[in-house]
Amino acid sequence: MIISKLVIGNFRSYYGEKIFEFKRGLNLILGSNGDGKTTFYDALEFVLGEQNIDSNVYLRSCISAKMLANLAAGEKGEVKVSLEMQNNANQKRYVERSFDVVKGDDGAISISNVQHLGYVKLAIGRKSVPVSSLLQGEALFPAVIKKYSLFKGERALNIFEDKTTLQNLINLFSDIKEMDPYIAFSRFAEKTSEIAVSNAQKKNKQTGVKAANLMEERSKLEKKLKDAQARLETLQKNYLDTNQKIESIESDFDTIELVHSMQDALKQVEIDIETEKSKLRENYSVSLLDDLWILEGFQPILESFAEKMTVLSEQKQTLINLDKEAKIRRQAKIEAEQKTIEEFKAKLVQLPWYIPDVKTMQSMLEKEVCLVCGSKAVKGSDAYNHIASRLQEALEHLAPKKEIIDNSEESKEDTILFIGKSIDYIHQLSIQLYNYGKNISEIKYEIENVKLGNEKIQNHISKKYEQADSIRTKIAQILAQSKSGNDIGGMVGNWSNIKHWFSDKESISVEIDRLTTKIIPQIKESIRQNIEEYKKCAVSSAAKEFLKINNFFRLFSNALENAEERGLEEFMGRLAESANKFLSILNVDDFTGIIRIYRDIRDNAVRVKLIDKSGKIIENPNTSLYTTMHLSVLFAISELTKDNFDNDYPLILDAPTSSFDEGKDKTFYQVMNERLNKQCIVVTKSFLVKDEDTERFIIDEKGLRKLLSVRQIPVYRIEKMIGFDKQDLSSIETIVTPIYY
Amino acid sequence: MKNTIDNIYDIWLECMNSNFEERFLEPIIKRYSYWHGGTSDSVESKGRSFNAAYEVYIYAFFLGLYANERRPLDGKKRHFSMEMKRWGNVSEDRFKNRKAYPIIQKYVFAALIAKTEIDLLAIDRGDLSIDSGVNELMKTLCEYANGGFYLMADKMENVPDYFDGNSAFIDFLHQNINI
Repeated sequence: MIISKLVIGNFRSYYGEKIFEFKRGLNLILGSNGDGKTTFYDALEFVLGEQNIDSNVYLRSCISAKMLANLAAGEKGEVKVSLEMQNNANQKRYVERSFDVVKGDDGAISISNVQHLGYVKLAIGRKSVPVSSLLQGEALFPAVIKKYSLFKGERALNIFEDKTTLQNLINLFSDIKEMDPYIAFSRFAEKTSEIAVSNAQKKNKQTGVKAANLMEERSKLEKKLKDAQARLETLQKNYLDTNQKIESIESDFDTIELVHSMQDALKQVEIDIETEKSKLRENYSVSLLDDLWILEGFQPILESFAEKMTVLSEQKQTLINLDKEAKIRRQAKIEAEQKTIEEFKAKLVQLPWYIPDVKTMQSMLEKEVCLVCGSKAVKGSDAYNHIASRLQEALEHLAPKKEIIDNSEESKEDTILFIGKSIDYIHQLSIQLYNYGKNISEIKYEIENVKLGNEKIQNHISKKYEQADSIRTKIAQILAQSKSGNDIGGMVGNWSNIKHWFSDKESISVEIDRLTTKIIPQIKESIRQNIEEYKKCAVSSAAKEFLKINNFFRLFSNALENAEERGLEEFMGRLAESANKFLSILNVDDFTGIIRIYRDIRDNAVRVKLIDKSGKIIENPNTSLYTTMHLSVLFAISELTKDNFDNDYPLILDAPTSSFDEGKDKTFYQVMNERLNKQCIVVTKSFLVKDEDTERFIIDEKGLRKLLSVRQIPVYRIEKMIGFDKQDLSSIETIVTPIYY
Repeated sequence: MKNTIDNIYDIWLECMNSNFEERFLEPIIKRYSYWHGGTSDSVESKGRSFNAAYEVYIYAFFLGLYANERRPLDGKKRHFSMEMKRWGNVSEDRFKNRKAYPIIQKYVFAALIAKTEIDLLAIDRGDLSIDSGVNELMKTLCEYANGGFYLMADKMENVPDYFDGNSAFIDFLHQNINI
C-alpha cells in the first residue's frame, strides 16, 4: 500500500483545503520550526484514528483558529482530513475523518456530525466501508503495522523500548509460535513414559533398589533444577524491574546526579551560613555588661576617684601622723622636765626630800626666810623659788600613784583618733581598679574590632546567601528544563535508592550469569548422568521398551525447544542482517559499526546495539548514528512485511534527522532516494537555509537539485503565511507549495 | 572609748533601694528586659536586650554618668528587690550563655565615691554614721540612673523603636560620653 493523496482541511494551521500527492519512494515535506510539520503528522494520525474521536477536547484542539475567526455567528465550518491509499493491485481506497463546527451568537462553538468513514469509489458514486474493515480487514493499514510506520521525532524510532515489540514481530512475521503446542505435548509424553519406566523397574528385584535410589536422586536433582530455574526466573524479573527503573530515569540520570550534587553543595553552603552566624558577636547589649564595654567612658571618673582617694588617704595619714607627733612631743617634754628636776636635785639638795618637812617649808615661804640657813628668802627670789620647788618635790613624793594613773589615760586617748577603715579600704579599691581592672582605654578598639569582624562575617554570609540562591535558581531551572515529565525533584530525593539500582543490576546480572553458565548446566549434566546410570539398570524387557519411548520424547521435546530457540535467533539474525544492509546504505562515508539484535538472558528483553568488528558494544553512539541504526531496523521490518504479507507499508517520519549535522542529512536523503524502493513520507527542515537578508528560511535549491537529480520525487514546501501576528493564533496559516523539479 | 566600725562598701552592697521613677517601668525597663524572670531562649526573649531589669538600670546609670545628667527623682518611685551584691551574678537560668560580671559593683561604687560629697574622714573618725554616707551614695546612684532614663525616653520620643536595633544601646552610650 502507498498513500497517494492527503487532503487537510481547516485542521489547525492548515486553513482551507491543502492537498499533498505522494508517490512510491521518498516524499519530502519541507518546513521550518512552527511551519506546520508536526501538524501534518498529527493530521495523518487524526485520519488514521490514532486519537480518541469522542474526546471533545481533542477535537477542539484540531479546529483551525483562522477558520473559527472567519466564521460568522451561526455559520458552520468543517474540519476534514481525507486520505487516499492505493493497494498493491493499484486499487484506490479512501478514509475520511471530519466534524462540523458551529459558532454561536456568543462566540461559543459547538461540534457536531463527527464522522470517520471509509469508502471505495464506484463508477457512479461511492460505497461506504467501515474504516476498521478497510484498514484491518483489507490489511490496508493494520493497527499493528501502524506501530512500525508512523514515527514522531527521533526518540520514537527505538521501537524496542516497548517490551512487547519482539513478541509482536514474531507473531507477525515468524512461525515459531506454531511449535508451542508440539513442545507441550512432547514434554507431557516424556513425563508419562518416564513414569511407565519407573513402574516397570520397580518390579525387577535385582536392580529395583538401585533404580529406585537413582530415581530418588533424579527427583532431587530435578527439584534442584526447578528451584534454580525458578530462581533464574525471579532474578530475570528483578533484572527487568531494575532495568526498567533505570531506563525510566536514564534520560534524566545526568540531571538527577547534577541536581543531587547541587543540593549537596547547597546543604554545605547552608551549613557554612550557620557556622558563620555562630561566629557573629552581635549581642552588643550582653557585651556591654559581660565584657564591661559599659566602662567605655569611665576613665576620667576612675582617675577622679583614684585622686580623691589618694588625697583622702593622705589626709587621714597626715592626721594620724600629727597626732602621733603631738603625743611624742608631750612625752618628750615630760621626760625633759623630769630630767631637769633630777639634775637640779642632784646639784642643790643635800638634804633628803622630807627635810625640812612640808609644814616647815610652808612656814619658810610664808615668812620669806630660810630656816635652815637663816638667810632671807624674798618672794620671787631664787631662794624662795628653791624652797617652793622643794615643797613641790615633797608633795609629789607623797602622792606618786596618782601621777602614774593620769599619765596612762592620756596615752590611751592618743591612739584612737580613727575608728573606721573605709578610707583605707576604698583607697585600696581605687589602686586595684586603676592598676588591675579592665583596660578601659582598649574598650573602644575592642568594640570597633568586634563590629568590623561582624561586618566581615555579615558580608561573607550575604555572599553565601547569594551563592545558595544561585544554586536554588539553577536547580529550579534544571528541573523546569527537564522534558521527560518525570518528577526529578522526587528522584533526587530517592538518590540513594537510585544508586542502589545500578549495583543491584550488576549483582543480579552476575547471579544470572552464574546460574545460566554454571549451576543449571551442572544440574542438567548430573541429570543426564543419572539417566545414563538408570538405563543400565533397565534390564526387564518392559522397562527397556518404555525407556526407548521415553528417550524418544525427551530428545524430541529438547529438539523442539532448541528449534524454537534457534528460530528466534534466526529471526533476530535475519532482522539484523537486513538492518545492516540498510545501515551500510544510509551511513555512507562514515563509521557504521554492525547492528546486533539479541535477546538479553538477564531479562529476556530484545536489545539492538551497535558493535564494532571485534564484537565490542559501542555504548554511546552519536545521535545521528543511533537514529540511522533505528531507521535501518525499521526498514528491515518493513522488508519483512513485504515478505510475509505480500504487502508494503509506507514509513511516515516526522523530523527523524533533527540531530544530524548539516550536510549529513542531505546525504542521508540522497541515499534514501537512490536506494530505497519503498514509500517514505518525511517531514523535515532539511534542504532549508536561512536567507541572511530576510531572516526567512528558503529552499536550498542546489542541495535539492542534487537530490532530485537521482530521481524526481514529490517535494512540498510548507510555511507560515507572511504577515501573521505573533500574539494571534487565528492569523497563522500554513501555506503548502508543491515543488516539482 | 570608741569602737571599731565596718567599711562603707560592705554596707552599700547590702542596699536594695535603687529607685527609679515608675514612668520608666513599662516603656523602657519592661520593654528591654525581664521584669520578673523568663529565660533568654524563650519566645519572649525576642527583642529584649537585657536579661534582668537591673541591667537596664546599670545601663541608665552609666549613661547618665557619662552624659553628666544627674536628675533628682520625681513622682512615684519603684525599686528593684535585689541587693547590690547580687548584681552581675548570672547563675540563674535566665542568664544562659552569659558571663558573670560582679566587678561592675566596684566600678559603680567608685563612680559614686567620685561623684558624692561625703566626709569619709568624719565617718572613719566615727563622727558621722556610715548609714548617712551610704544614703548619699544611693542618692547619687538613683539620680544618675534617672538622668539616663530621661535621655533614653527623649530618644524614644523621637525614634520610638530606636533601641530595637542591634547595636542601639552601645551606640547611644557612645554618643553620650560627655566627660
